[in-house]
Amino acid sequence: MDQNIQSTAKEAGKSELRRDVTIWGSYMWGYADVGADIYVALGLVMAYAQGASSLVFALAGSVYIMIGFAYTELSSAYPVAGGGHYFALRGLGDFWGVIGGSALLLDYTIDIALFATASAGYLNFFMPYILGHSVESFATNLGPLHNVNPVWCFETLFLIAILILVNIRGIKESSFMNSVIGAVDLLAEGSIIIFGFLFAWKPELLAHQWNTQFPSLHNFMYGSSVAIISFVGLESISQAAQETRRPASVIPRTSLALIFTVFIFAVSFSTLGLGVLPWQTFAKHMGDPVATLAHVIPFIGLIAGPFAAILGATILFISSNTGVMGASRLTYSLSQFKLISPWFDSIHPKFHTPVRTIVIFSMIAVIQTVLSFLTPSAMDTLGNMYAFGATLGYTLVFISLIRLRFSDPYTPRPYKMPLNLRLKYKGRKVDFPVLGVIGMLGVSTILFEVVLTHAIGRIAGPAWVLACFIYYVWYRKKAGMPVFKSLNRNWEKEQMEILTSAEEYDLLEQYKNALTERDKKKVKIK
Amino acid sequence: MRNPSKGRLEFFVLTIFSCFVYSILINRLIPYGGTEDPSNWGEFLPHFAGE
Repeated sequence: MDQNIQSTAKEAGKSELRRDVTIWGSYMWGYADVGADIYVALGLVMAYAQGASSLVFALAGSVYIMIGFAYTELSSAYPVAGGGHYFALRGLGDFWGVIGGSALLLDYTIDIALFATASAGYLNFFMPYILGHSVESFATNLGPLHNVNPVWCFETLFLIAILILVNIRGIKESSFMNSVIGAVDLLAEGSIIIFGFLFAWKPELLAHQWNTQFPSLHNFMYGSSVAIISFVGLESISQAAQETRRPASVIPRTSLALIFTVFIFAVSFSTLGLGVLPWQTFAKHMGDPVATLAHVIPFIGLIAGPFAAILGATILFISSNTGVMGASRLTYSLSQFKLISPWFDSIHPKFHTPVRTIVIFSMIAVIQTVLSFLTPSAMDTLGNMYAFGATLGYTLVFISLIRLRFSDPYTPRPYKMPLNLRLKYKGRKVDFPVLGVIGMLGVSTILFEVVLTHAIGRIAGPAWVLACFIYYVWYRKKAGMPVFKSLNRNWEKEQMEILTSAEEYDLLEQYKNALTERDKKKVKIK
Repeated sequence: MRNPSKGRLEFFVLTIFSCFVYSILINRLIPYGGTEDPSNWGEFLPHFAGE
């Protein structure tokens, strides 16, 4: 990490200087973020999807690939850091912008709690060697509450406290460091998979588990909705688009390569896992599944187990930090578009960081952590909350993508989702995204599964969105602004500013030409 | 702006994928793991068990 005292709020602003990021740098940076997810998801998904884990990862991964296509298209067309909330605002208006924003805010706070919990879980891999007891041995029953683990909870809170301090003081992650960690992680995960397949994988065990341990429909649906966690971090594509010079030439290739890499790793890990150990072992080691798997591989296991544990703890801690930074950027974007009060943007006089946002959202993560540790499985509770926020946000992204193809066909799209149907709409040709509709159906099916199978997610998730909406109504009424009606915004001017700041002058020229053509047609009609 | 020649990143991802597939294929040739005791492979994989 670099000591770089800069305002995080300023980072989110359009005025921030963009950098030259190479395709490899951007790819590794993205992998440091998204590649961490399997460290959390493997145990969680296997606990429910059991013998069908590979199938579940492949199904959720197919939906994720389509979500990735949508993010790639939108992020390269609108290279700003708001991500899902910005696309919903632009495509569907203020009301949906705030709903999308609240879903993402839920995810960022859960991100802090879930990844800090998982990071502590990987540190606990060493506990039996140091204290002679596994972390599970500290679990206790408190009255009606079962399997409460105060030690693991305390460790997680300690990690979150470090994150709060680091972010208030403004110690910024270095993108170079993240790229290096991403590359090390890619190498380590790749080695575990290759050595695992070579020396430890038993296809008969995989087939046996498929045959005899196939989950019930409820568990299958539960597992496939939680599997979406292994693909967290698509927002980082928007983030990269915001910080990269000429993003249109870098983002589509980087993000497509990243999406397929993550998909290949997720399916490979689950296939390897089921062929090496019974799924029950992963369910038992929900806190450190990758280290558990690495530890039993012949030859490299003795070193790979502890190495995977250290790497997992590090990379998950960084991912947890992404949640703090993401929440700051998102609230900045929400307040810029008058969806929440500018009160959140207050900057610390000494450290020049958005201290209120950091403290408020980290404290929400602390509350989520404590509450989830009161349930029988903290990781599971946090995971299913996460799944609700992610699937709601992604559903809105798909609807926005389809809507924007009609309402804003003039913005150049350096990348378009495959499978388009050319239609005539109001006298002009529009590419209707067939894959966008399929993706929307896929992700809304997962949202349906979340609501159907996640007892906590279906109550707490909508309650969070409702609480955010009540705040939004209160703020807009107080400020004398409409609640359901969108404010008048000059999106064309905004788009020109975005393309100028991104130094995408060719796209700017194309955009201006498209607008001129449109205006000429309007004059002719009159 | 530095921009590596087109296709290198895609080639890299494809290489990773190929390595995984090849390691599965080579798994059958190594006397560890799956090949330890073919008689225990069970009825669900008759073509493997018959090897």
